[in-house]
Amino acid sequence: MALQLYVWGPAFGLPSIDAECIAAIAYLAQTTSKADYQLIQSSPSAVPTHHLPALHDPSTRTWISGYTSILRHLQTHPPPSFHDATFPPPTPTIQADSKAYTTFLSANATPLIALYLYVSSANWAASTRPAYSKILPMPLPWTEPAQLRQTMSARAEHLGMSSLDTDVETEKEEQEAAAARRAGWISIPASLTRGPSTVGEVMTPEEKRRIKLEGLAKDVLDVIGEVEWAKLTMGARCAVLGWVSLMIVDEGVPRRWLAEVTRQKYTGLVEFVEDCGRETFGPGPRGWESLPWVDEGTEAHGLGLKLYQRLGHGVMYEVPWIGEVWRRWWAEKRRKQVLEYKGVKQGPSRDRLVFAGLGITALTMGAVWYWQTLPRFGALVQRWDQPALAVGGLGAAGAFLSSMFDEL
Amino acid sequence: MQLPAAFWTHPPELLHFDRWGRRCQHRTFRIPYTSSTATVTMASATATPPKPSARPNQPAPSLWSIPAPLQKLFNQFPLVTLDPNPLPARSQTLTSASDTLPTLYIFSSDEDALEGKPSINPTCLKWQTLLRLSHVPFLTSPSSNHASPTGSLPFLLPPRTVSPNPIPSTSIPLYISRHTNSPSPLPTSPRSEAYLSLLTPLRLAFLQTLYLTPAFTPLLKKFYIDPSTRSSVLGTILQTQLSAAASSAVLQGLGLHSQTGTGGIDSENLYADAAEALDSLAILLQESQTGWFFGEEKPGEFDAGLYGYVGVIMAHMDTPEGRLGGLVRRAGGGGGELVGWWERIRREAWGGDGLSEGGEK
Repeated sequence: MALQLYVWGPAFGLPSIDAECIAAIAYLAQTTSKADYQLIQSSPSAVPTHHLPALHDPSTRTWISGYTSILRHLQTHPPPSFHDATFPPPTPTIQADSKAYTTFLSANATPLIALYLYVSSANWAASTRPAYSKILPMPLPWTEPAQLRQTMSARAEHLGMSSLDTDVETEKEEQEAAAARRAGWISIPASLTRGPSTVGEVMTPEEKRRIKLEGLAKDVLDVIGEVEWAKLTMGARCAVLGWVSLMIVDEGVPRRWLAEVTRQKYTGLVEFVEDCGRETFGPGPRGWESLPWVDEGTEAHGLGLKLYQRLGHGVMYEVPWIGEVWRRWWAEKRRKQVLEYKGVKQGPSRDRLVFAGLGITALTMGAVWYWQTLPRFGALVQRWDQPALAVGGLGAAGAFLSSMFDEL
Repeated sequence: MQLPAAFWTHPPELLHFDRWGRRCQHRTFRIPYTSSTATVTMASATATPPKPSARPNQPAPSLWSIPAPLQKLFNQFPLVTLDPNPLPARSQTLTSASDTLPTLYIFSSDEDALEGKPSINPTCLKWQTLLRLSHVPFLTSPSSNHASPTGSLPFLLPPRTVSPNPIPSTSIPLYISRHTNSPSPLPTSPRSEAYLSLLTPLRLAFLQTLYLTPAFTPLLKKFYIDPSTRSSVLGTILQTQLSAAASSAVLQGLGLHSQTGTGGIDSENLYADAAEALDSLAILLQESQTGWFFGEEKPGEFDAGLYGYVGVIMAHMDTPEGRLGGLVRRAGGGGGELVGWWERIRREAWGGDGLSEGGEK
């Protein structure tokens, strides 16, 4: 049975929206014939490893995720038509350099892409978020992109550029304005308030930090710009294709600092990457469409989950406190499933015990509450109240008066 | 008013009272009448009861003055005066020597820090090794992240007489080049930057081993929890927090959501990645003719950075349960490059067997 590669769907005119996925697709396309693998457009909630790209190898019954792990698996368990001219690498130096540059890309270029496409509010809202909405089946865009943005922002946190995320700032300003309106007696209409007057107020966060952002990009690009990629292994070449082709994305992106820096100063690298893309995916701009894509819905995958289930998990993750526990429990459960599927014996699960405990606690609490609402022994269960004093209750004179009122 | 006879016979400055309030007669012998030394003053108590009015230079005993018998009793105390306690061992060295030597604050135990032994934390060990390799004399002191101005160890405190400002770890190379008259460190080459990123998979595997492998929990306790607290409850909480922090760091390094928990970590892949990284480093070392990375004449910051991990791994994790020790030994096709390099650095920085030599003085 063919290998199944689960990847993020295409966006920005590239085969995938994720650098690692592009690299994995490119490597498979370069080394394996189309009959031996399938590309399945998916999302992390569908695979037991919670991370894309994920390779499912039915022959070894394994799930492998991450570009370097997939590479390793393909090289150690090659499919019948696998042919990589650079494996084993011609010299140890080439092997070591390839590994070093691949690791460098995944460790240092990922945070840059995270800043460019995920942290920056303008780019996220105008291009990345809509791209995710396009590639995810319907209810999933409600939950998954937000979590992905969280994950990617955490990867760029150490660069200290969180001010690109203007959503937080805008929200704060709006709250302050609302508080001022509540506290003050006089409210000035927005049209009469002072507009931005200094240059700093007109500039976007990207423009304000342009020099620092360029510095960050230069730190990474200086290293990968000087490498003779053509001499390295296929794995390293596919990695640079994946990461750099996302760095030079500029179609529909409003703030293009990373693409501009890369295209202006590292023309050699950009040329190499574009050539490499044409060579891998075919001549046309969307040559990757001819790869063996399979629709996720029609593919019968043993561990695949229904969409609503994936949505349910996404919603659960967002619940404060419970979300964390839920995420951990679910990850643990799926990991056990994978190991069992692979044939590894697992210890008895404690899930039933936990759920039974929770059920018994809930039942006990319900019973106590019901007991509290019951009347105590000897308590009055019926009560007759004296009717309210009315005119009719005042004897004969009352009767006379009430008949008078009735007539009125 | 009747004055005592002595008042008239003695000038007022010679009229004294002993501490019980009795009048004393001072007999002064002046030189013309004596053959010996200058002036001899003798006090002899008389039984004459004191009369307040007769003491012009003494205040009247107040209501609050202590009665004589009690005062006598109190004068017996303290019965024994003990010698002052000596200062704790580490502060003694620090106070005596830190006037002239800088102090590096690292993760360590009291005894190890006193002897200048290698730290148990990779980052601390990196800078400690670099300082020792460049023969800058310094003291070490155990500390925790809370003590550091940057929020993480290590940091260097210059001699107290020189400057009170701590030096963060990133400025240590500059400090070394200033104090050893060596040229300031060259900007790193692109290739070394790329190889430096190979420490990332090594770090993830290290975190997985120390913090998330049950077999290494005793070591984790010894390293980080026992120096912080002796309470078992606090220790358990601290350990949970450390493991959670480590698992979220590993998950983040792998590109997963940081709250996925240990279920999201595929430890086989972590170790395989670390093995590939160590292989590549061993190949890089084979290329070099000098025995140090990138053909340098003497070990530099890159060597120290890798030694931070390899040193801790080989000292504490080279056991059957610790797979990293085996990975270091087998790196580069079993040629033992990394082990040889590790021993060379150990000799260079710590001399001899690498552990017994005390702190540089």
